[in-house]
Amino acid sequence: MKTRTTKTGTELDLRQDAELDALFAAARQEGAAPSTALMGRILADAYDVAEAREIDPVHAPAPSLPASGRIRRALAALGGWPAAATLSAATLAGLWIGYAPPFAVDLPGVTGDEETTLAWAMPDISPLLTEDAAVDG
Amino acid sequence: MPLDVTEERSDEDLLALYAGGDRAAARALTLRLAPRIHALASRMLGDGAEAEDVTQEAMLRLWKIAPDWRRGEAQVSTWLWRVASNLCTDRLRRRRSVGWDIAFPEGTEPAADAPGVEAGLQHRARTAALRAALADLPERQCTAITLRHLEGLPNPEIADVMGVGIEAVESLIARGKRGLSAILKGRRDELGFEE
Repeated sequence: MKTRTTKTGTELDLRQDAELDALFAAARQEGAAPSTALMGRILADAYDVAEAREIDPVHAPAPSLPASGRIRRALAALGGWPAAATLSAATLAGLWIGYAPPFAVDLPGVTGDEETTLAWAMPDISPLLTEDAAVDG
Repeated sequence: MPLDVTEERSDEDLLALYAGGDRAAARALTLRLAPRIHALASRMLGDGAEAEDVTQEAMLRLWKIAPDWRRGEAQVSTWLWRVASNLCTDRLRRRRSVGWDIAFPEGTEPAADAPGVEAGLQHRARTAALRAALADLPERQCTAITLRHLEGLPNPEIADVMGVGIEAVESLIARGKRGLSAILKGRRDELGFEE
């Protein structure tokens, strides 16, 4: 018949410590090295953070768009390049109309010299109306 | 800067160089610190993917704090241990809230050069049992035990990492070990421990 010995508290503690030490030793051997991919990601983060800091050294909330980006965004909001071209043409036409005095005011004899007033009020298109211009194309 | 020069620098010097735009300093810090953080996270979490996430996140926080680092207030490695162990603790806590089976996946493989099949199996069983038992401990006991017995940090450094006194560390470790023994009590035969 097998007799069972009773262990003292100290013996039990020592045994438990020894067993835990064996488990810790097994776990310590396990440490896997970090993968190359992980090291690459960590380094990429380091460079990204450094570059963001170079662009924005005072921790501004968001990097500002370059001028071309802002223009592109504004154009998109307006409806793209065709809309912008139409808007430009309309603006120039409005500017010319607003800048040029009303034609009726520049009647000869009322506001001054006929030739000077008309030349100032309208672009000179007379060369386009001659026969030579029409032939030359 | 050549790597052999950066090897002689302290972590704090390298961090200051990195903050000034020195890429070699970032490489040196990564090579020096990331493997240690990865080992800690692997042992605390027992999951390779999660350990990688924690390592990357902890290092990212280091890069971000670099320009604001105040010299002499803390060791870089201690600060990083603290960040990593807190990240691990958060993950352990989340695991418990979603349940054991879902949260605790199969562990990492044992070392490839484990001697012999039987020894390899026992090694695997012991490692898995310890990991599971650690995960059952209160988080702070788990952290203290991992830092002391798996990472080999001295108690004063563990106290700095955990933001507590040395006596509290000793108490956490003692209670943690008692807890581990209690959890593993019924598995002694399976783990190769005899009466």
